[in-house]
Amino acid sequence: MPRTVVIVDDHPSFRASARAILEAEGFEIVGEAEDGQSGIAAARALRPDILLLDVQLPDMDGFAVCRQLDLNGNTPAIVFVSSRDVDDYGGLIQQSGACGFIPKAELSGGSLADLVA
Amino acid sequence: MSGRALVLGAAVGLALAAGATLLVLTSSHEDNKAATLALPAGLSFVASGLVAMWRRPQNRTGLLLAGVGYLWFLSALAESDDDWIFTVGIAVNSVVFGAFVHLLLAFPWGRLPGRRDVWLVVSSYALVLSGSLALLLVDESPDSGCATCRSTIAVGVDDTARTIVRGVVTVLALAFLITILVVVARRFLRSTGALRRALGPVLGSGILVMLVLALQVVVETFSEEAARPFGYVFLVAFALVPLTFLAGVLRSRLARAGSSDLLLELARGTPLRDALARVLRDPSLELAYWLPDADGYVTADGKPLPEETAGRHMTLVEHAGRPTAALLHDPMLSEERELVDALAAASGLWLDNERLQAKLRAQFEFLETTVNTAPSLLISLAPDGRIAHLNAASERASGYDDPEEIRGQYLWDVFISPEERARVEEAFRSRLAHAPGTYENTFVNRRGEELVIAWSTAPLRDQAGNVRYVICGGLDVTERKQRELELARERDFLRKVADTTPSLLVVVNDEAIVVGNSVNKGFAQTIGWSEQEMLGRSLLDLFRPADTYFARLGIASAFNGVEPAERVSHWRTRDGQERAIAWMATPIVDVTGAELVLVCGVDVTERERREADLRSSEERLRAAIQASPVAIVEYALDDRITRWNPAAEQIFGWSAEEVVGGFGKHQPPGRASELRELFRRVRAGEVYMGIESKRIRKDGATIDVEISAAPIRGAGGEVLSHMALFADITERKRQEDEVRASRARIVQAGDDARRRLERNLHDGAQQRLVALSLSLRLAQSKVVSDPEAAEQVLEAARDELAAALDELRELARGIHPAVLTDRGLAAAVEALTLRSPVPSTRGRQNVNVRVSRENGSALVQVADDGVGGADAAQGSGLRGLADRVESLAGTLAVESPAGGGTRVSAEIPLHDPPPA
Repeated sequence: MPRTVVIVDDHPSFRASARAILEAEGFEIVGEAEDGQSGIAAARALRPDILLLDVQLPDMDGFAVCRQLDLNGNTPAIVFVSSRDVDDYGGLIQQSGACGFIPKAELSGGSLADLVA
Repeated sequence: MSGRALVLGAAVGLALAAGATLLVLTSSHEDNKAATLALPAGLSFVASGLVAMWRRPQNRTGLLLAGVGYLWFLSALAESDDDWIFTVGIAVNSVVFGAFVHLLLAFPWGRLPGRRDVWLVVSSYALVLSGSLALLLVDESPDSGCATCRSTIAVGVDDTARTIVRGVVTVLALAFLITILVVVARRFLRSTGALRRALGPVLGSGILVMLVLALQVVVETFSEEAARPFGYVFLVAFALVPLTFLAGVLRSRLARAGSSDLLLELARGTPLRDALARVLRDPSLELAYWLPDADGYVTADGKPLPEETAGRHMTLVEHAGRPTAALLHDPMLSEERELVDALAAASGLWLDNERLQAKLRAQFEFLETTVNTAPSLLISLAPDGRIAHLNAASERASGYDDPEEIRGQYLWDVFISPEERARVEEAFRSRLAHAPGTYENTFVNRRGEELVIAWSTAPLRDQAGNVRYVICGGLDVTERKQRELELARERDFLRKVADTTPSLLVVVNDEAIVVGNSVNKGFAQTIGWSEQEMLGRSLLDLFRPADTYFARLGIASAFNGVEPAERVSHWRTRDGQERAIAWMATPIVDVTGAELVLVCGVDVTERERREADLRSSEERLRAAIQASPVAIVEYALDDRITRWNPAAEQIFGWSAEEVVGGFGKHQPPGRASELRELFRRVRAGEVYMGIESKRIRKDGATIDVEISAAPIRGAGGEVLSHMALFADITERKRQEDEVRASRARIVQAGDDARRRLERNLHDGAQQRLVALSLSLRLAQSKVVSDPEAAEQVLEAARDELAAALDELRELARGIHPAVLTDRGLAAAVEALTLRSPVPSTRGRQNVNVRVSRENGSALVQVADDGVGGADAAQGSGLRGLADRVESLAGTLAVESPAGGGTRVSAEIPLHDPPPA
């Protein structure tokens, strides 16, 4: 079954690239958001299976979005992405309850499927 | 008493005796026996009296004796039958006893010795007369032996009255008798020697007579019969009495023969005094001789007559009208004038001889005393040099224990040192014996003592001119020599002291002339003139002319005994220098007793110089403090301000007058403990520098100061005060703060720039590269299945990549434009201006950019003709620019008047490039 994804990232080029590559791999991109608040709204509204969440968002960071969604329950599978190194975030990824982290440059359908499986 | 008077007296006596006998014989009531016994008594008295008067005319004892005898015969009138004559006789009877008492008390001189005796005698006469008259008055027949005899003056009284009167008379008589007895007995007991011997028999017989009489009277009152034997005894005793008197008076007669005894005694060799004493029977006799030189009497052993001659009489013996001698003897002997004179004559020559002897002995005594107490040695030598006599001092000096050993020895053997003996002997024999001479010699005496004797000799010649003795006098000069040695040593010592002391010493007289032996080495070294050169010169020559007055004054004052005071004067030295000398003049006395002045001085030239240096350095210090740009405040130990320099006035605002003497007003409140701690530390000796603190100005403003403080110490190292230096660092602090802020801003700007860079990288190029990566993956995944799609993706990816490269390029330019490195400043500026946006909203139309190099600085000017109103302080961009320019030690100026465009110019100093 194609999984639904909402992409939350403030860089339009990345959103475009990510859509292209994931759609090519069979994922369905149901929504995009360019900041935290709209991301939360989209996640609640569209109830995707996967939330591709950029850590560096203009209004709040990805972890805050994660926490917000946690409170609501029924969270999608959250996968953090960033152009920064995973080491920059230390243990925060694990603590957030997300499924994992993929560096942006290595985003592919396969790597995503591996994490949410 | 002339012979005729005596014969007359005898005749009268005999006549009276005859008369009395007749009366007795013709008396009808008298017992012949008793009468006959009475006669001899009278005769005895008269005869004794006459003999006494003949042998001792001056002595009235004789007269009294005869008187008693006459009265005795007269009392025979009581034998008369005629009542009147009878009465008279009774009265006279009693007077006899008065006369007898008189006789007794006047013995042995015939004169009553004292007033008491006179009164006694007078009262006895009065008593006996009045007593008998009383009896005659009351008793008609007073004589118990004659019943018919009548008292013619009797008055009729009754028996009681008669008895009373008789009783009273009897009692009075008894009392009187007892009194006389007592007086006589006392006189006897109190007398000594010859007097006692004389008084003895007389008083004894007298007492006996009176006792008998008293008894008779007593017994008569009871029984007349029983009293009769007493009467006989009385008469016998009474008759004997005159004999004892006579014997007493004439006692010396027996001794008269003694004058020949005296000569015999003298011939036997008995000393005169003893012989005289023996002959005169006065063992206490003393002889004294008249010495005309002494103008007094001297005893035989040469001593003057003692003052005390109590109880003894002195009889002067004269010879040819001149006083010869004096005899001190018993007072009794004063009667024996003839005897004494005879003995004196007999012993005249003897006395003369003894007088001369006494004189000689006195002279000898004197000489002997002189010789023996003389401290000098006195020796008499025989002409051959042997010692004949020597005085006590010589004996002591010889060291011999027994002076007898010395006599007979040669002078030189005893008193001269062995090595000199031969010479002295020779000199003696040749010269000394014949002429006076002196000689000094040191010898060791028998006892081992070393003595120095100065001898002088003189010959003693006899009448023929031959030398009888040589008198040798020696003066023990050992001590003197010792003292001379000590004095010499002392002089040497003082001389050494005078020459060692660095002070200069000079002795001058009252004219300030330098006198001999009188300038020490210190003087010669300091002034340059030696002792010889200074002698006789005036000290005033050395003084500076202006100082001579005070020099003269100083020396004169010393002479007048004024307290010496130190002066500093300038003296000229030999080589023309002037030296400052602190000097003082004191009076001294030299060996000859001359009054001189000692001038004692110390060269204080160096001291003066140092003082001058000190003064000038103090002046420099004071000037430095006054001129210092740093505030200098000095605090005393009590925290009061003692110094406040002009810089302090300027920095703090208060003037010195307002502050000095009081407590500091510049210290801010609330810092009291900090200040106390600082003060304590600096007073404990700590020096601290560069402490930053705050102080207040007079106008109330607070300023930042940098304080340094140090203690000021006195000569002993103790802290006297401390000084604090204040530098006003307000401006500096402000600048420091400014620089600090500027640096902070630069760092901040740097941080911000990096942050921006990162952001730019992240948000820009990095994202593009990510997208590119994803595109390539997509293309890769489609290259086989959908090559056309892959090609589109790759086209897009190429665009993406180009954009990324652009972005990167842009970034790099922002960091450091490559054009600047490749083509230089001008090209880079041009490129920059082409790229820089000019927002139109601000109204800037034209921008002028000019970069030039002027005066070693780069001048960058950017001007536009916009609306202006830019404020470097408000806008962070301009401020950041200013920071960066200032960090290069440059200045940024912004001119942006409202409506007048904006001109920003930076001037940055250029450094020469470092050597490669």
